[in-house]
Amino acid sequence: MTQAEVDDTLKRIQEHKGVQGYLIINSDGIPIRSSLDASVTQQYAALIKSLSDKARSTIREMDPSNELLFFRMRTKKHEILVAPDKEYTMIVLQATDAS
Amino acid sequence: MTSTLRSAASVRTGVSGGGRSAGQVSGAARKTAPVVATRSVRTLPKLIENNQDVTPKRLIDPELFYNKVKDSFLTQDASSTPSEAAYSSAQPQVFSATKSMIGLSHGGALNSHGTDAESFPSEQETDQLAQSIAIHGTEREHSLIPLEDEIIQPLLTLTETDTIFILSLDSSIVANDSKDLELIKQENERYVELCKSKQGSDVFNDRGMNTFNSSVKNKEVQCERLISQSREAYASTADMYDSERGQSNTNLVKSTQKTQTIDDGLMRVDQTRSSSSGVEKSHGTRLSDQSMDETMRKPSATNSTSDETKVPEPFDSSKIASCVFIMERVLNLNTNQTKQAIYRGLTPLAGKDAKEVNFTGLALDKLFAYSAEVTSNKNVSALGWNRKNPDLLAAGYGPFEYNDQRDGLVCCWCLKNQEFPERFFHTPAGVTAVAFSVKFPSLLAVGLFDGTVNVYDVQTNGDKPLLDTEESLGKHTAPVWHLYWVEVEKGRDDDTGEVLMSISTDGRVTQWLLRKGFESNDYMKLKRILSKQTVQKRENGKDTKGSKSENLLFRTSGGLCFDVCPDDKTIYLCGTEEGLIHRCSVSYNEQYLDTYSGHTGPVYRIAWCPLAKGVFLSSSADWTVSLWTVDRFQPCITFASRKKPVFDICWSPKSATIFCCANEEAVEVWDLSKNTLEPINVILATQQYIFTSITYAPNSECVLAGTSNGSVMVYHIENLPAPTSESELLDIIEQQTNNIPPLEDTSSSVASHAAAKEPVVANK
Repeated sequence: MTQAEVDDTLKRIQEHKGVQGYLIINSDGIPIRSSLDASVTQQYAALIKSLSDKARSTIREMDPSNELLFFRMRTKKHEILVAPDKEYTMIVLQATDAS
Repeated sequence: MTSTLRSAASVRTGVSGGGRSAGQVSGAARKTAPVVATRSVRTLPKLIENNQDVTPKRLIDPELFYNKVKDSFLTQDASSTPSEAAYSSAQPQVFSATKSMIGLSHGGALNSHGTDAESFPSEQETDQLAQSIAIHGTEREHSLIPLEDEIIQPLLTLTETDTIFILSLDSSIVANDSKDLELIKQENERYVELCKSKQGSDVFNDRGMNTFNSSVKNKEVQCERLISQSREAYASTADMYDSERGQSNTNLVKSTQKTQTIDDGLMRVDQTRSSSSGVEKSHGTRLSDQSMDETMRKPSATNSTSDETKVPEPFDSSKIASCVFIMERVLNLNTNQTKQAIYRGLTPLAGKDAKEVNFTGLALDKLFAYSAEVTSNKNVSALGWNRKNPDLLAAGYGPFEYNDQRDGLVCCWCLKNQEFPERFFHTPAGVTAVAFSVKFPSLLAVGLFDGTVNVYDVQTNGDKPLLDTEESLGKHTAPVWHLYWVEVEKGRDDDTGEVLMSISTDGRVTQWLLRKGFESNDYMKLKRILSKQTVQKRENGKDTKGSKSENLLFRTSGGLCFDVCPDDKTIYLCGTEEGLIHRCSVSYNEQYLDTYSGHTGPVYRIAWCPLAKGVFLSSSADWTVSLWTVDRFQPCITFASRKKPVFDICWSPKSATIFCCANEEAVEVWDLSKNTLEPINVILATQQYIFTSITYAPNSECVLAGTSNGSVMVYHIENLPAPTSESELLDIIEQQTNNIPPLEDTSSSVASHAAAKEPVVANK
């Protein structure tokens, strides 16, 4: 995908039904882009990055040829979707129907 | 060499005073000491290189030295002593020759000289001296041999010498009853008297001796401080797997220009951790333990931002393309989970309120619609499914009105994302037909309003088609209404095994071969023929006026649709603008095999029944849908429900008696086993749009209908009856047709049709 397409997709994600915010962090846990405020962004970046890494290493320990593509955490208030990648990780918060 | 000799001599002189007593001994010893060994001068082997005598000279010339030593001995009295000899022997091994010389010459000197000093050497002492000479003698032997070796192999070995007794006066004990007792006692007494008389005697002279204390010098050695760092690396299974495959790019040493200090060492550890890109590495190979991670995180984070110059600079979004892509799909899934589940035929999660099923009949339930901004207000003119991925739908957008020419669009929609097409291609003219290739599932053929056929590769999202017929000779000059990929046998090696068939208003059914470009063959030119009906009329003379004035202005009639027989790929049906349907064969390009007439308006769509042989449907602008069999040239059953042209029809892939059609104002589902007069379910379009195309989903119980405002509605068919088989369809057809006499008159056929209904009702 070209940069323009990716930007379009990001925009669509942001406007998707129920999406409360998103952030993109790099492999060190530093947020590159975010639609939330700074403190929340920092918190999410640090905490979720370590969880994502742990999840990833878990999967790879069990079967090194496997790879973590995506995981989500459904909570009472909303749902946190995490898409890790080689260099970057994307995190989106979406409100569930119940909330 | 000579200097060393002199120094040896001087040493001797310096020492001579102190060693007087020993000198006396030596003097006495001179008399009795035998010459231990005859000195033999060994000649060294001569080495000659380049006609030059390169035999190394001895460091000490034995002849010369011997003579000198002898002379020096002569000039002094009580000169050489064992102590001197020993002293010189304490010199480094280089002078080993000197030692031995001294010892020997010592012996020699002893022999040649007497001394007036009174001495009373005991036997032991002479033995001692002899021993020392012997030692030296042996040493000399030893020294000569290594000297020889040294010439051949210059190998310098520094070793400690053996302990050399400078003076060892051991007392001995004699038994009282020994023979020499008296003699020994006398000797002893004499010695004691001598010692007493030593003090004031003129014979002895005291002399002091001083040894030099060499100055002490302190030397310090300092080495560089050894910095030790403990490092550990933890390799996880994943890491080992990666490194086996050479995929890991752990960069443990990052090139920095920092100096070697402990602090920087630690910093570097952090940087290696942080600079190793990729989640797998930073956690597989931890260079410090977990607790360090947390504490180090903040400083390392700040450091890495300053050091990695790439990241803060323009962030290239394309790197996160895959994350974003997956994320969007998952979001869609979240919002539309129930609908997607229904589409797939899975039971949706209980969450939505369960609708009460009011009636048990077949129902259509709208799930969702594929629509996006980019497709808004565009008329869906064609729908086609991908052969390989049954979730992928190609929708062509183009206006139906002939005078309203805008740019067209082709979108590929996927079930997983309902809000935005996976691919979209803009086309210069309105799209009228789309078809996915069978053999190469990523090729999409698009027919345009201006007659060109483009082939796109859906793996990329570029607007440029892979191939197009712009420059081909066989290009259509009128809108291409239908496209079909047919598998054929390979004629040549570079054939793809597949050809593309197209039909267009310019009256040609064309076959396109995808070789280097497009090559075309015409299958058929649709000639305008007089239908049997009109021929009959003429013959009957009913409409003579009309027939006379009927001028055939155009030899070809415009083709609007065609369909290839699923059983026999060489037979196809095509529908024309006049309402005639021709059955043609690929092999005959001049003649039709059969003609079916019955429609009074242009035939928009023809569809072979996928389950029953020889049965097909046709829809036309005359508000009817007709069911035909191959052997009857009249429609078997005609369906008319609304007063609107029927744009599109499709058979159900599972049930032989169900089909759907798209009117302008409704989507209708017909089930012939239930009712041949009315559709069993209807979905009405709102006033804003009309339905223009329809298709069944191949992997789901859904019907997709395209509308004129750019959205493709997906309807789920609920409460489907059990799929009917081909035989049932044929039975129904039999029933319907048995009662129709084979007449060509439409009026009479209607009457007969009406007449036929009663027996049918009666049968029921």
